[in-house]
Amino acid sequence: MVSLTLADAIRITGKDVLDYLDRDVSVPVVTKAACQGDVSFLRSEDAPATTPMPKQGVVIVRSEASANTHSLHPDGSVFWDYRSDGSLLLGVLTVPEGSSALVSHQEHGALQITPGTYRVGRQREWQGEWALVRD
Amino acid sequence: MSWLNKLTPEQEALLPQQRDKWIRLGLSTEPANRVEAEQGVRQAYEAAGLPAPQFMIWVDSPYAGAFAQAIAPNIISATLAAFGVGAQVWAQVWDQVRAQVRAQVWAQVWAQVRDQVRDQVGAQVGDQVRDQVGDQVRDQVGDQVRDQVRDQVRDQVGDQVRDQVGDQVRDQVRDQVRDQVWAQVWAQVGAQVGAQVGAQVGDQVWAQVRNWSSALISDFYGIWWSSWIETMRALGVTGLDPWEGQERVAANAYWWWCFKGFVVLSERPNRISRDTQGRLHSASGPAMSWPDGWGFHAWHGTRVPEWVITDPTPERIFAESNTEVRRAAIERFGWDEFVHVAGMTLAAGPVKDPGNGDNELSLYDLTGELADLYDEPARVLLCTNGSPERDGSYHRFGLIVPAHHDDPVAAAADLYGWSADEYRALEVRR
Repeated sequence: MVSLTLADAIRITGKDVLDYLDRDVSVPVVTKAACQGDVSFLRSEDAPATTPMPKQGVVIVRSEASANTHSLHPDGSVFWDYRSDGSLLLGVLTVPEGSSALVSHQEHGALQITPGTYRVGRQREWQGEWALVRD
Repeated sequence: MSWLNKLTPEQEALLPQQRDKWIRLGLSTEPANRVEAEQGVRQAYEAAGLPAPQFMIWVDSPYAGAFAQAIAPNIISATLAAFGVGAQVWAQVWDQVRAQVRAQVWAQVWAQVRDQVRDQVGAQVGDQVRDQVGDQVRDQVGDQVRDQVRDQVRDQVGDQVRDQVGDQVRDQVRDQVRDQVWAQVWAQVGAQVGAQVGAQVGDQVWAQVRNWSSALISDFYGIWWSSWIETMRALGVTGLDPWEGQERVAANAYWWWCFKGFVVLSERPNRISRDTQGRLHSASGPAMSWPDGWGFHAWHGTRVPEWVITDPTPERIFAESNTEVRRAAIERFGWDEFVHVAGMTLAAGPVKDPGNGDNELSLYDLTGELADLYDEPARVLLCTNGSPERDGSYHRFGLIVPAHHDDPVAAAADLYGWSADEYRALEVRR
């Protein structure tokens, strides 16, 4: 797998990040588990995703009021199924051999996800009961 | 039209458009379109079988509106007296009404001010703002009434005032304008639309518009109902015209109050600030404010006093009796500093935060005065953001976890619904 810089990731995803983030730094590579803000990625034995991810990517957590949106982008052919378990699960991501997926967020930069199937979920917080975290 | 039992694809495509349109209107910070709104008022009165109101009084905030609708009858009768036209009629009616229902009206007025201003809009109005708004409103109402009376005198329509001022008390007007029209409209929809379509429009338009607008103001219902009714009309349901006037007001102004002979209409807010989940929120000034300067502060959907946003101090935080406000104030102050100034006890840690460089995780106890901050026992997990701020620093923040946690890593994992071992395997935490 080719190591990417943040500048490469911006080019591939078409999503810019905040100006003060270093464009020359390598994008962290994920093979098992990663978190980006309030979104988590965990390698799993779930049934692989079967829906081809569109070239322009998919939004996984949208911010209505700001640009703090987490989006997923294919580099090669990648599959993404929106799935819910009634709790934190957002969907399942499957990256075939020879492809990778990029996660983009303007404050957090990018992550590169290597081949495998991953559960993608949200973060919650305790307020006397569980509630989805506010980004 | 025929019985509407199933939507065509074209009709279904209308629903998100309608939803977006009414959400946009509900969130609008544009100045009101006064000409359109007043036309809507006339239509609404006509639909209710009432003559158009003689006076249209515009105010710059709902707070000013609550005030204006209470003082308008007095100002109207005094002004009419000054012009010597129809004054005795207003005075008479006002005397009668006052004699019979003064207490009731004032109770209503205060209830309105209390409900609409404190509970619904959420008032943390400084005395200064309140007094200024009060003076402004008195002047505004006075000026508008004077101008409108002058026009009416010139047009010799003073007599109409007499006809319009009957013996009905204000609430009956509202019943007629709103509730009766609503009943008519509801009956029309019931007669023409199948349950499935009704539910579909309800789910996809009404509930979502309501969801968005209720995050702002729970009783700004002109927007909710209008979204639904207008959508029904767009789907071809007939007989809904009586609501059109109210729809027009909702789409072009903000709250309004209707009475026999006069209405009070409020300008829209000129600022609405929300967090990523759409809740009212601003760390820099009021989350919602109106052209006259009235507004209120909010922190992630919790309405808070101004000091929470502008000057949260540990003293004020500990003096605050409302736990919701107190939680917001601590978040605004910052948990990382608060655990130190409040002398909170370290329960576990610090331990290395997996995937997050040299950063650490710690758990703190909520004891003493902070023990009842949450409904269930809780601890504070202090974390450090994996991505830098603009100045190169790393933001430290607190997250609340159930109190049974005594391993910071397990607590952090629980926030993602993961096991501690899964979280320890983190390669990167940004």
